[in-house]
Amino acid sequence: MALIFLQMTAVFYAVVTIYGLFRMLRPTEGSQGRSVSLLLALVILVHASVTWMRASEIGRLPLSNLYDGLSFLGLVLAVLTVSLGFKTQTPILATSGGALVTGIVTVASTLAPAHQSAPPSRWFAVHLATAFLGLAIFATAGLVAFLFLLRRNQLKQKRRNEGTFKRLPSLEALDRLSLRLIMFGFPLMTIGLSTGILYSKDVLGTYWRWGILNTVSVIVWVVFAVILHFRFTIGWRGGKVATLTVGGVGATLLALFAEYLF
Amino acid sequence: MKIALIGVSHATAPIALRERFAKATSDSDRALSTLCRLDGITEACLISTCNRVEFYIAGQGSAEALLAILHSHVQSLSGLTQAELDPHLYLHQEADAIRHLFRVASALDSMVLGEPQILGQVKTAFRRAEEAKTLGPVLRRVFQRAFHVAKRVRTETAVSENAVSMSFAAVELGRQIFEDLSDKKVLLIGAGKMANLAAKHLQAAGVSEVRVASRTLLTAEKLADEVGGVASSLSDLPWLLERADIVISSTAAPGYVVDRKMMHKIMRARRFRNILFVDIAVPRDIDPAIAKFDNVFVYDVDDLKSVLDRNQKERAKEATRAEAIVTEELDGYARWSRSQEVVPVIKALRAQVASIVEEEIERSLGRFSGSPQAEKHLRAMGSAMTNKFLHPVMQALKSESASGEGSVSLEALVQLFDLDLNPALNSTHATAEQPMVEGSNVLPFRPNRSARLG
Repeated sequence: MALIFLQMTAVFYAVVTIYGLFRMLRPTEGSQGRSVSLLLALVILVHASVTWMRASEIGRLPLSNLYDGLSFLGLVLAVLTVSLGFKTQTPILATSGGALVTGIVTVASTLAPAHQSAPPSRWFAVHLATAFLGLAIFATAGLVAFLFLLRRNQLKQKRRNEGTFKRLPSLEALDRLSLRLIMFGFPLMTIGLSTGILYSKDVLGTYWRWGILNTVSVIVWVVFAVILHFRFTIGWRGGKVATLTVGGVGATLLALFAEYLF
Repeated sequence: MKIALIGVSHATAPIALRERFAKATSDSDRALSTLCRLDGITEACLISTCNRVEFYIAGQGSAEALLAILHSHVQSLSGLTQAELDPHLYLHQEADAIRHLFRVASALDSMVLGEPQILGQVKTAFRRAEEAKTLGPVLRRVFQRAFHVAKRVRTETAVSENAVSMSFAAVELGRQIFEDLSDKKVLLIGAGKMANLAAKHLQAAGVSEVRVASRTLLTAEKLADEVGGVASSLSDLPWLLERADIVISSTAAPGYVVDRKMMHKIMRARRFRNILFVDIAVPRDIDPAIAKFDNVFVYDVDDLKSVLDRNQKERAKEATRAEAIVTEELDGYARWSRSQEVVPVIKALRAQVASIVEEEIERSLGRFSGSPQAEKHLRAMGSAMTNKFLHPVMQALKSESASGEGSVSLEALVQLFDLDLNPALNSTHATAEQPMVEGSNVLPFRPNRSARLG
């Protein structure tokens, strides 16, 4: 039952995102594009109710498999991008967030919700909650970094500040927002990884097993650690950091899909 | 006397070529006197700004010949082959050259339509030529007309009203890069009118500090006073660049003031914070290669164009009105300059008739020695006859010249009466009559004032 609702939610996300992209490409003068954020907020409500239905169906927080995890990831990501879009008056953030969420929720809705047995380890819920929350925050940072790169290229290529670009905040603002998100996401990711190791010991009997997701996660974790380290020591920022952020987030999401799809 | 013009501008030539000309003519005194030494050229004026270099000349002979001489001079200055250079040049003569100057002075040919700096720059060019003694009656008059036209365009149209100039672009770009300008520091390296204006715009946008660096601390202090900033010496440049967020550079230095190696170190010291360079100097002050560095943004005058295009459209409408003023002034000028052609002919004709009458009076007086009373009457009669005879001729010439068909009758008159048009060789009694001649014949130039009411 919940699956059909999630599929519907994915369609809603897709429709609103396409509308948002359309508005982005053909902006009307004087409009801030708030309608996209408002519509996305409505879809978020639908998504939240679907999640609540699922929770009451299995009797606890729906996080214990990829289907639930991805849905949860999508929900958090949508909430983050829409609210940050409101806060920074950047509807383009909501729209691009919508695009990513559409992808994630679509993948989720193609999976069958596995029958839930009791979690195999006490670390399992903590691991999934923190890892997915961290990933959602990182994904938002990745989107912001992506917008940063758009803005930077516009300035480097000396293109006029109009149309889509006009909706972008300043470079500095985007850079700062991205850094803040990484700073919030990083500890959650760290907890997610460590609890993952403990969970692996409980379930598989070994702390570490080399797989796509594990490998990529560790590499990306190191990349973000390096970004933060150099930011606070020598002031690293800007284009390189943004490229690394986008790359890191993209790799993690792909690894996540790959781990479960293949 | 014919007028000719050759120029390169932002519309026709890339910055690198304009730089070549700017360098080649950086010593304006020498450049001007070199021009005047060319065959047939008697007057010269040189407009050199970051967006254009233009050679105005006047001289004897045909306008085509003058242009050809100027062209070969310009080509030798550029050091390029004709095929390389010609696509970037514009050549005008006579009315076209004058129209061009009118448009330039009115900022109708400017990169930023209606920008306020160009008039001052044309005036500077005029003053330099005056100081170099390369101006004569022709160019002096044309340039003064150009200033008048520029003033009309400014007061009668809105072309310059919201004339956001390049300085505005600095603020606009600053806003795209920086979240909040109120904690940002501005550095002016060298300062012209443009840099001054940019600093004022940025101050209005609320930047926290404006520093001015110049080669000598004295000029820096003077400029700093003007913009309400702090003066620094150019030798502190690395330290200044470390602190600054927006740098506006407009020095007359022939090479780069900020180069790659210097900037590499500075970016580390700045902790890679964003820095915006607005380079309005030609030749450029900022090595364009540093734009490749992360978080470094370099805009030269050509780049600013793309940022400013948007505002151009709104002002294009007003520009149509301004162009109408230019055309109207050009017509007025042409009428006036044609009427000026009439003056020497009338002068010569009058001198000739007067001398004949005088000669005859002298002869008659010699034949019968009358009373002084009679002599006075006789002379008065002679002068009255001269005036009466010339009156319809003058009227006809004036009305013909006003309608632009004067030259045929003029030439006929010169031929029929075998007139000597060179005033220097005029006999003494012709000079004695001059006050009267001038009072009656020289048409003072009056622009068409009725049009201003519209």
